[in-house]
Amino acid sequence: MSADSPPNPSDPGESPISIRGLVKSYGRVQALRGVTVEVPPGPVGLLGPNGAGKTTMIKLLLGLLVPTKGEASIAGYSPVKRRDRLAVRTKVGYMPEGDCLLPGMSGVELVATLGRLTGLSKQDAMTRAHEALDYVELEEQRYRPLDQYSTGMKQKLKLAQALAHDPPILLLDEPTNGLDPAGRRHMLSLIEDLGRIQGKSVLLCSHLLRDVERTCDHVVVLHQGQVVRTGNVADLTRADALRLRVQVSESGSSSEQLSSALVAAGFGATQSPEHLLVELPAGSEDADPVFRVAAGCGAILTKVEPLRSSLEQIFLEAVGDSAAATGALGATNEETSA
Amino acid sequence: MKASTHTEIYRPFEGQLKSWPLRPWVLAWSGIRLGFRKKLPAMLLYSPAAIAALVGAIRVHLMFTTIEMAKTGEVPGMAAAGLAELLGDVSSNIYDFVGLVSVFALLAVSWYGAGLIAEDKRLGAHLLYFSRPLTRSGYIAGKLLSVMVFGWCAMLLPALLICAQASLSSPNWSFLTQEWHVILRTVAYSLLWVFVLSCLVLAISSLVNRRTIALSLVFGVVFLLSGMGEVLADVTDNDRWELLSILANFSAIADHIFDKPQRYNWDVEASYWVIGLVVAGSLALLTRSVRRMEVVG
Repeated sequence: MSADSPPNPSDPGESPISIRGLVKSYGRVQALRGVTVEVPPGPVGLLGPNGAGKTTMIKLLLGLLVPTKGEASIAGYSPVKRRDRLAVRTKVGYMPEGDCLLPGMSGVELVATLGRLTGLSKQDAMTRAHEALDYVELEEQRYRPLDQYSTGMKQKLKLAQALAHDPPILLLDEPTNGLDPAGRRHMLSLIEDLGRIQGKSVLLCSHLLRDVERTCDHVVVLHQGQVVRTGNVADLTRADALRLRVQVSESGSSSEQLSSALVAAGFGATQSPEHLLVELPAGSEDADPVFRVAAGCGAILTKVEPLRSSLEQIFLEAVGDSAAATGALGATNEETSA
Repeated sequence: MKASTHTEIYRPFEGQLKSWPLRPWVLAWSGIRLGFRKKLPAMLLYSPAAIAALVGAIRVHLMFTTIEMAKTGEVPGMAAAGLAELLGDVSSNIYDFVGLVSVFALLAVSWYGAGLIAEDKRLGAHLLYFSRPLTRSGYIAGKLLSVMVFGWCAMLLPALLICAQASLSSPNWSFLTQEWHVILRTVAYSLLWVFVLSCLVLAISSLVNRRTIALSLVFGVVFLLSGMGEVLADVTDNDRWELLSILANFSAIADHIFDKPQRYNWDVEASYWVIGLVVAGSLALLTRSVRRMEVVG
């Protein structure tokens, strides 16, 4: 893509972010090791355990870091070139991970000031500030000084400032950090709305699998500075034809009896409190043999469904080393318990 | 379109981004508003300058009134001469006044400027600024403008007030028509003093992450160097050591600008060189630090 005619990042099918062989070293430590990835439009999750290189990648895309090697393009511009870097920043809204807010300012002042720095007129900046703050539901709190903001309010404000100039691309770094369950649901619903309904290209950087699973259509898994898995969430977590979740009616034979019959017939069967997990032999095309065994032992099946891989499984498979994934899983479990 | 858990809709922006927005001014204005929002420091820093300006204005007014009264014979010649001697001439008064308020300017610039970049770094606010199309020079210009306004409010504004009073009190605007060069000199010296201090304070602020550290360093650089210069000058009996002192160099420059006899035994050009080096060094440091803030290589 030439610099004179950058693509419209909101064009369907056009890749808003493209990275080729990106390497970033901090002394001897390599934060990114030759990352190559095409990020499709729409909501995309950038997953990885803590220290995987997610924030480094986002900062490189914004031109806040200089890559050691490789190139990247965002909205058709190269963030490495100085002139392009400024153009990139009019097309991108960035929500940083840290607080980054100046005490003494009020929320509406901060959003309006940052809007004006992006190039909005004074009047437009104030209008946009209120619109963005309305959208994230920071009501009268917008007039309070930032040092009185709670974590949830700060996260909302950071999202509002990223939306001030209505950019087609949003880079969101850990947007649900520190939020309570209600705040987190709200934040995710906003991200979902922006990515799926408002048509923005959202790169959601998170180590929380459920956040990504809920809001993103596509996922890029980073581990130790490398892309270890990328693809459509639906494809990655597609139904596994070889594994079934079976529920047995109490009026016929028990699920224990069915389980024994299935094992005797050469199937794998695992009993759980609510259902039976059945593993079909390799080469099986459908679930008919299970129905035949059930009919043979007098069990009445109330539900038979193929088992889907969860994003968590995909992530663990991709990351491989479970110790490295502890950060992500720990956070997932925390969230689940919350 | 509504998101499921909230009631507000997303409104796309229909307008256009400005091609040449005055980004440094936006940044400066935001800094100025934030600075003046804290009433106590503003009151403590600007009250002495305001009081000095008030006293100075009354003094200047009295000078012209005395001269007028002596001319009309309302005050006996001897008394008028005594009063005139006591009050001194207007130009010298303004020179002394500028010297006095330059101290308040130093305090104001140090207080407001010390945290301008250090706090941005500590809080990570520079990430928000540099994720916008703000250039490094725009950022520096914005911060510099902001801190200079704080300095000018303590120095240029009161000095101009005295000049305005002198113009109004002088018969037939004679101060404005005959001694306009005093106004120009006052403006030139105030601009220079505040600019140099602002560069120095911002450079120091860009090197650290805490306002208090920056503030201590500023006073360390200004007063320790002055003290050291003075001590070395006394010990070696050579006042050229005072070239180390920013304050002494500015005194020499003030003497030069206001056309007063030089109080030091060195050529004033040397002072201009020293101040030039301070500015160049400060700007170089500032540029380097801000580059590291925007893009870390």
